[in-house]
Amino acid sequence: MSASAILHLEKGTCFGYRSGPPWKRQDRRLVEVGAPVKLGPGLHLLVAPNGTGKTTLLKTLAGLNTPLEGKLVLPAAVHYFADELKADPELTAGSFFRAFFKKGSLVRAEKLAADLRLDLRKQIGKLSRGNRQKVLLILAEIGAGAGEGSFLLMDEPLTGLDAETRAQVTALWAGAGAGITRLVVMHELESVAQASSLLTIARGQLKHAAEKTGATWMDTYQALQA
Amino acid sequence: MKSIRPWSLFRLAQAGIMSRSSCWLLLLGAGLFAWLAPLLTPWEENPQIFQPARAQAAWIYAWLALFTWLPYQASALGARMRRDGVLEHLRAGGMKPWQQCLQLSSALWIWAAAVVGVALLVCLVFTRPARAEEAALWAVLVCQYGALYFLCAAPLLLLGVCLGTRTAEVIAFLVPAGLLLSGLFGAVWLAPLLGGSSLAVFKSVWLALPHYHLADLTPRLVFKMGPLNSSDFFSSAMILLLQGVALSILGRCLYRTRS
Repeated sequence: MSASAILHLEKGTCFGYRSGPPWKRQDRRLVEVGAPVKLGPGLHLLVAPNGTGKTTLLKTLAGLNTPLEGKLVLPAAVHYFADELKADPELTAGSFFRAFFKKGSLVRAEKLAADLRLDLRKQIGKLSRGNRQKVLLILAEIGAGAGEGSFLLMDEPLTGLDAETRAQVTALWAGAGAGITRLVVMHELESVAQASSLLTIARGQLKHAAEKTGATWMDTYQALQA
Repeated sequence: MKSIRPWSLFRLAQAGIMSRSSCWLLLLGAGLFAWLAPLLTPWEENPQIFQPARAQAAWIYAWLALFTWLPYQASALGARMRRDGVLEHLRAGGMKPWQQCLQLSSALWIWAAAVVGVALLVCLVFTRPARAEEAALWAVLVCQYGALYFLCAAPLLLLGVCLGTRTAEVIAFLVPAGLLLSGLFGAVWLAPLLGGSSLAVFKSVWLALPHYHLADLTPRLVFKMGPLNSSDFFSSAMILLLQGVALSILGRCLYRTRS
């Protein structure tokens, strides 16, 4: 994996934010890289308790913040899907996709929508929460799917989805887009059987497990948190 | 993001505006206002006033749109796109803030251009003078009016969008509307006090005021005074352009992608 790794995080790289008035800025450190981390194509899970800095880490990796210490170089096309990302409720899912995708990608988006049983003619505002989430998942998959070396950052993308759709989405992640590196923040570890690695934040340290240390990823998570 | 269209934000903004339908009412209203407002004048006593009154109504509507619908849409668009995280998403994908700013503003410039288009249509098709020489001068004047109006509208809408991404929608709406109000009427009222003053402070205040009154050629249309000569037109256009550049730079500084 390391040969084609897209993300290299050196030991000591610090993530957080600066707060306070401009003349009295203070660094608020949330996450420090304890040991070097290398992520290549595949599905990487980021699981950590609330308020530990997952979103700040993701935003920094997306290039929206700068690291407090260390340097970050990402030789990839970044696709960041924040937790608060929403599609315009007045648009239909079809017109939303038409705004983003050219012909070939649009056909793929429509096919994926059919697979996920998403009605493209319905206004997004009238869709259920799970179906609205599907709109963003399709945007993420088709947007990242075309480019080799894409880095997809997603903040809790499975929230609001039913068990069947979760299974469909995780199967899609496992099967499609060999060149895509996915870093996904989630809490529903039980719904992911196949993943390349797991990252967690324990006592302000970013920890990485490239392989399962138990029967499930939940065991790995608990081992890293211990 | 090669699979994503290069002008995706423009398309998304445009689709959002069109799905809200009020844009069609704006254009329908432009036609109806130019048609119906002159009927309120005593045109039966003097039918000659009917034609310039129709042209006047078309341009009054264009200015009204720049006071109301257009800045409201600009502020709402900026606020909505930032709140929904779309700007942050595209920023992470490599779309620079100035590109976002340009695409969002373009989505509104189209509607400002459409309002100007209706006014031009009314002036050039329905109220064009019958005599050939007069008609040629009328057409030049109307085109000058359209160009100057657009030089006022474009930076104000850009500022509205940028303020929408930074602050409350109501402020983002009121600032461009207030600037337009002061530039169209305030500058004219203050001209004798500030412009004619010998005090440098007053003169500086006068220079700093927006001078949108330069773009208001309605009296020339109504009284058939003919087009501005080219030096007057270019100096007015240059002043409005420089003001527009200053507002655009201010807008770009205020633009924010963070949701």
